Amino acid sequence: MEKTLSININGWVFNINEDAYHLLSEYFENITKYFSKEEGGAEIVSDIEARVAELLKEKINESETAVNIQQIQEIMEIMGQPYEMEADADDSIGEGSKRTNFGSRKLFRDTDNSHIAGVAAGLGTYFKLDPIFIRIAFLLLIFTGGVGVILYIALWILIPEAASISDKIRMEGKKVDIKNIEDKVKEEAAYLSDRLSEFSTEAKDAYHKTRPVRKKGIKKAEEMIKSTGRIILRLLKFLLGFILFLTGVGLLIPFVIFFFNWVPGLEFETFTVHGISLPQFLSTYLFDTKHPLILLSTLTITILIPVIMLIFNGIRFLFNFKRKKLVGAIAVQIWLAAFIITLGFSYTTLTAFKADAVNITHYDFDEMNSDTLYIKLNKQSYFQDVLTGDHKTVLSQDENFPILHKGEFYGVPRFRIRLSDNDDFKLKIFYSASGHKDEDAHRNIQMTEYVFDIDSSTLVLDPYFKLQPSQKWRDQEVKIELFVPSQRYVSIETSIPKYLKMSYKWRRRLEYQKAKASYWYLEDDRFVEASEMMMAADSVAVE
Amino acid sequence: MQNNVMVFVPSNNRNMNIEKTKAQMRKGVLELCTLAIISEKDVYASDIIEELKSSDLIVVEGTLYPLLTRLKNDGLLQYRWEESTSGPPRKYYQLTKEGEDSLTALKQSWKELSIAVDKIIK
Repeated sequence: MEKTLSININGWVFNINEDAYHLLSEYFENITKYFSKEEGGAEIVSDIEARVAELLKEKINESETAVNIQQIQEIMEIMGQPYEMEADADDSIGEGSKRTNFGSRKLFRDTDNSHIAGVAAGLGTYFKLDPIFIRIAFLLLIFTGGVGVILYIALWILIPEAASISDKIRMEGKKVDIKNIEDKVKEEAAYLSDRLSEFSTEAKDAYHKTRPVRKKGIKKAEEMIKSTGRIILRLLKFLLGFILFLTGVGLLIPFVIFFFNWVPGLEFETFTVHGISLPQFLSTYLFDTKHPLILLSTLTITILIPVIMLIFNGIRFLFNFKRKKLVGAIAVQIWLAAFIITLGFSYTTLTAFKADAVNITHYDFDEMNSDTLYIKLNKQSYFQDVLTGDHKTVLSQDENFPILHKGEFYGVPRFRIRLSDNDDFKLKIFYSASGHKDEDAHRNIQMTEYVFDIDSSTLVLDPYFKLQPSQKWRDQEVKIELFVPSQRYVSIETSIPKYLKMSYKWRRRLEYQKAKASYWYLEDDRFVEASEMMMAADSVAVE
Repeated sequence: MQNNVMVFVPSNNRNMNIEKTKAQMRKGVLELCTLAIISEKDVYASDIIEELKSSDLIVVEGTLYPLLTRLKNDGLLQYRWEESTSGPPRKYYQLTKEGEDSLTALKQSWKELSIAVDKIIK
């Protein structure tokens, strides 16, 4: 059963099927829009309507039934599309045919074959692919962190629905695949080179011929520049779209990875936190506000909107879609609001870094009875035991994989070795931190814990310092300075430069050591490796 | 006149450029032909279309309407409404004085052009 409407065109009454009616009224709308700028546009439209009515009447007299969609399509073919009707005799003919080509490649959401909003079905029709592949791609993208969802929603908003019959015809009309794009580019290139050779021949002759010919040459050159410009513009737009899209996706993926905690640990500068997501980290260790959730959401929006807009506009340029002013305006408004709220709520967090404090502690090596100080890394509590085959005896600790507890904040201490001004080994530990006020900074220092052990001939250093569970990250730092007197030795384990932050000079020398520890002594204000005393050139200058 | 036009139109339509040139040629003579048809007797749009189509001068019918409106706005044409036995009233077009002059001028230049072209392409 089909619904039939009764319409009046130019005084004639027709019974028309609903789908045919939609196609026809859209056709008239297009024509009206097309000629609206022209002088006498309304008259042109009413003349065309009159002719359509006449043609319809002829068709109906043959069959005596309601007008169906095929008949409307036939009439549209007879009458032509608006751009084929151009009145302006000066207008170049190429324009019309070119627009036909562009007009026929159109991406729509195919709601007839949709599962959600017809994005996959539409893309499938557009790329001549079975939509199932596109759906699988979307699903895979969802599993890699919601990128698929965001992309799908962006496409849902961007791609117009194939609402009318003519949309559907256009959607299925000329499908664009790589081959077609290639053909199109080749065609344009051939056309251009034709033009170019034509023009150059003409340019040669121009001097020998009369003025009208020269004029013609100039006009050709103008045309050539115009069409070249058009192609370059489209290519640039495509390229820009591609870059925008890739940038957007390139930003979105790491965002999602950090947001959903798919990284083993968050590491920045000399700090490491394992096993929690970025939002969790921010609210636990950074934000100084009573409403971390609000700050978190607005911050997320502030970051996410520009990223999505990049993807959005990338797709827009790639497929030559029209700008969606409303979507853009809403996005800007939301972003502004989120940005302002973020600023407001992060004020206290930002000022929490205002005051700085340093605390220096001195340690002496009492009862030092050896010429050599052994510097070792504390492996007991940070590294897994390496056991014998029967799991009974501990052989050593696995230096490569520290055991870091989930959600705990670890900082890497700095380590420097310097020349002592007397005959004693000395140790200085610098603690520093920030806070709202000096007291806060000092409190943060008090709560920073660094464990090390001194006995008569060894210094055992922890690879990390830790923050107390309730403590926020306020730029806490621990700096260890060891003072070595001249004529004395230090033995440094290879794991020390691996975990502690040392100057490049030391690190470079120490990392090439094959033995488990290397010996150093001071000569002429330089630390020299004891086993290579002769090679003074390789020594490390005293810092 | 039809024969003259046919001389212009090569049968090979594989090449896009030839198609373009053909369309351009048709467009160039469309105004002349339309004026000529109207000058014979008062006609309404569908009569003009019939005649132009039988000579392959237009591809889509829509082409004619913007042209008619432009000619009318330029003062070359005028029309009157006439009752029809089979439907709503129709616009019957006729040439104005200016239109007649314009047609004469166009005819003259067509003849010259046609002779010149025939001479070149032989």
